[in-house]
Amino acid sequence: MHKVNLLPPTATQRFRQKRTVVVWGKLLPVIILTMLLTIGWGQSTAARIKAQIEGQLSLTQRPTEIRQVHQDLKAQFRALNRMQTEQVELRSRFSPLVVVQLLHQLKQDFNGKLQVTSIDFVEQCQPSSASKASSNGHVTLQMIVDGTTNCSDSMQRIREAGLFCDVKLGSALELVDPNSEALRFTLRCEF
Amino acid sequence: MNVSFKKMQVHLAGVSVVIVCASTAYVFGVRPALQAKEQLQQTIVEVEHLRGLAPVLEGEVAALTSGIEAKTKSIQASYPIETQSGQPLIGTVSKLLSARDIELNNLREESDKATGEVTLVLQASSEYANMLHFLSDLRRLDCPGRISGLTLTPLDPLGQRCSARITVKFYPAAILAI
Repeated sequence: MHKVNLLPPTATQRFRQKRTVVVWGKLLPVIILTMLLTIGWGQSTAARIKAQIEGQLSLTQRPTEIRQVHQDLKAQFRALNRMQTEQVELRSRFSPLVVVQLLHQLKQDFNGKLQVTSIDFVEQCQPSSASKASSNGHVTLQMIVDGTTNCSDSMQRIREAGLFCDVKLGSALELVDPNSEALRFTLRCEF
Repeated sequence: MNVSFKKMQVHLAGVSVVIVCASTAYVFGVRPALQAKEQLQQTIVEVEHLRGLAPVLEGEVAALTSGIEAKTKSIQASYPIETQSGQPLIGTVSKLLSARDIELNNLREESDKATGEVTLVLQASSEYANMLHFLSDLRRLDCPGRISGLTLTPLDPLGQRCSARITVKFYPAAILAI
């Protein structure tokens, strides 16, 4: 059995065109509806997840506070350290009291054979560059001892104390009195 | 041909609408949901990390608190002598001198306005022990001072009393403030 299309080709084409329009016309509302549903789902999901995030963040309130306190305390500790260092750096690094204590000990050890007639302490007053300088200052000691042996012994003791980077004679040994062995001399000690 | 072209136009329009709808759905629906999900995962990781860190931080906070207390006490103990606020340093030094029974012969103050440094040059006499206590006091002032010069000379043959010429440079800008 043979089928015969008696419609003219233009009519067939118009019919197909109309059918295409009808198909698209039915498809588009579905597509738009799907789009709207997707948007609705997306928005509601995002809102739900944001609520979950808020819930999670509320759990971190205490740890966040602790972290903040921790950071503040660390900053405070650093500031205290800085202040302590600054205070130490601004004050005399080498205390003249140490020199006096050393001389007091020496006098006791020499049983009155050593006499300190003058102590002259000079410190370079530049805190920031003090550490870079070769010498931070010096102490000039005028002393009187009995005999040259005691003179060299006292010098040796001062060197061995380890307070100074250099200890040297600042003057010649002079007899205080022609009738005695007492010698007057000056020591220059660099620190 | 004309009909076929029109049919093609309909398809094109339909496909365009589909593309626009799909893009809109992605931009306003899918993407916010995916972003929120990713953000949630990140938040969960951070929260877990932070909650795990909390006990450690609490321990460190306790250690830091006690460390700060100890350091504050140590600094205050190192420099217990307070300068009189709002008064010149001469006043504080004079008080220290009289507290140690030291006779003041001469006192000169030089201040550098640019740096705020104050230099005191003083000549005084007393017993050795008192003078040494005074020098120690100068180092324990809350206002940092640097003894830049000191000349000690005995005043009697026994060496009980001495005369001292002391140069101290003070840095009032760095007064201890805890």
